Amino acid sequence: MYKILVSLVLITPIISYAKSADELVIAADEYRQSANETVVNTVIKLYKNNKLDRERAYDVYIKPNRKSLVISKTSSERGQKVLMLDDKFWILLPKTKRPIRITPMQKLLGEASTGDIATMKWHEDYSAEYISTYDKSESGNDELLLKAKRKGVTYNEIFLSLIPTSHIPIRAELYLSSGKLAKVAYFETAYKNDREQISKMILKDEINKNQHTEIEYIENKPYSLNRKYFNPAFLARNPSIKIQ
Amino acid sequence: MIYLKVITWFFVIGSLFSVRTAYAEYSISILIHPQYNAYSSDTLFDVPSEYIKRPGLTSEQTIELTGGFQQPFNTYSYLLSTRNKLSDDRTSKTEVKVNELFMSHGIDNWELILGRRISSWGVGYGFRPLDVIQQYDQQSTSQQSMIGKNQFAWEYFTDMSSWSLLWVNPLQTEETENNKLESFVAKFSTNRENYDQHALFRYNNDNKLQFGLGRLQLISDSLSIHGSLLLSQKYQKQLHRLAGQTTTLLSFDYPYITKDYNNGLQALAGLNWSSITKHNIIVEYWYNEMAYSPHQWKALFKLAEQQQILLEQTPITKAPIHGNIAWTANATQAQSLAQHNLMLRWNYDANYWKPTVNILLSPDDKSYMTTILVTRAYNSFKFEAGVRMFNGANDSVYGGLIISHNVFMTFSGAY
Repeated sequence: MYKILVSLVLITPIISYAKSADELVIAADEYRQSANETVVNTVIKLYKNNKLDRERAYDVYIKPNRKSLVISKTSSERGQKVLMLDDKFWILLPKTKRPIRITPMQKLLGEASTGDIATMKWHEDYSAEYISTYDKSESGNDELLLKAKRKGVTYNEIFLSLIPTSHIPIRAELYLSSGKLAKVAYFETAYKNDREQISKMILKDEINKNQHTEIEYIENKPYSLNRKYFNPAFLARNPSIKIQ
Repeated sequence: MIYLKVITWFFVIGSLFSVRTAYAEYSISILIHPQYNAYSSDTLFDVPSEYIKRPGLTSEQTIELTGGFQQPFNTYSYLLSTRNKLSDDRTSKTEVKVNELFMSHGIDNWELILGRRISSWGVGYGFRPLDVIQQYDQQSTSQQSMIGKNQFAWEYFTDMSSWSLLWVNPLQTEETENNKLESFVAKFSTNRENYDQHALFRYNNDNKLQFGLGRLQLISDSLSIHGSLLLSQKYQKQLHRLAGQTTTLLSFDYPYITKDYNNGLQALAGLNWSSITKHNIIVEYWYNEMAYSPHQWKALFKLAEQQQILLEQTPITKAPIHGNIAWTANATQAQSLAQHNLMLRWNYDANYWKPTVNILLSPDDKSYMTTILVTRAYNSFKFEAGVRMFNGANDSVYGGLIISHNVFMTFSGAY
């Protein structure tokens, strides 16, 4: 009996961190998007030489199966929308009143921050594998390698650091398909709606070294948007109206 | 004086941008569009300026207000604009427009629309055959919003498709402009894995039945192709009744007559390619049977040439001849000048500036229009500057125009 109890005590730690890398990513995604259908009010601030160059506000509506609708709330971009349905993309520019289908390349070359805010679940776009567990890594965090499993994602690979046990994302290196390091993301959390959530993502631009972007998630709440809003033909609706 | 007015407008309106806000349920935008025009000395339509105006410097200032509000059962949307046009010939014109004003009522996946709304349809960058409601000039350098069409529309949306039935310009049966005629339109759109497809039917008294198809197909991550066509049971052209003959060169009344044709075709094919290095290239070819044919242009330019010869030879008063040459020149005001068109567009999305070069070629007579512009955006402001040049023989579609080139700028901002 004594031997059985000792064996169980020894085995338990092995079982407890035997989570797969994909499971860790799913747990990390809970801090970014907890419900299947949400709306995220987002403010993006672009800094050049540590001075605020541009500020943009967006409402991002997210549905399962990689559906997201990004609506610009900034006066200068009033009417601009980007619709992403899996690997399909459409953009509505303010004056055109006509949704334009764009290629994955055009979406990548557009406002890069749109790609940074439109997807809130890594596990839908990436497959994960361990680089190093927290007990063996220099940082003391779980280190994961995420590889894109579909086209059209902004970053081909992500080196992701997660706080052990809680699996809160702390840092991410974002690589383009060319292998070039594009940005390094740092995450901040805050307690909102009685749970800890990612409240800010700071992106250090590794290509334009004098630039960094702060993405602040003002509010992240469950919201089910009528499916017709995710129809490209419906994009031309007047953006001034609050979506119901 | 014109410069003082432009500067005054700029400073008065610029005060609106003293407060920035990141959140807006309505917005005000301002555009200032000065343009300098230079005229050809080789044109066959050379007449004194009292017959054809030749403003050197013009400036348009536009304020647009867009927004909307909701009530329990309906949503109301509006886009209003006021435009002031100044010219160095000391003329000034101010207009107030209702670009959009409509009510929409949505129930689940259905929408009912009543009012004036911009309905811009179809695939294409230089020309869009399926843009049957707005019929917007895709070559325009103006950044002003379009003016919508009065309509009653019923629309139904599924996940990836939509159906629309529209009654456009209700009861407008006496209009001469095609896009202001009463018409009935049915449209279907679907968006699939790697293509978008559109189909439409339109009926009005001038064209009778029109049928259109359009498709955009993704070929790879960086390349797409697109095409569309519109078949019209009937269409009309404004033809100069003296063109194509040499006996009578002058008319005492407006010489254009409306001629009916059967089975008109408008067709477009093109591709769009983007590179990782931020270059984008668009190539399009389109055919527009409703434009003047090469033979019709030849006859018109021949008439203008003979009218010029008459001007030099005649001892009598020149006023009737000048007036007739000015009438002959009216054909160059058409939105679509050539039947066959080839367009090449390149732009580069640099960090701060975005240059664009657009060349529109008329293969029939080798004349072309070149537009070069650069764009810069900063916060709520956008600046664009460009030049447009027309080249070709003086009896060609673009070389024969009165204008030889223009330089333009647009300052815009939103609050």
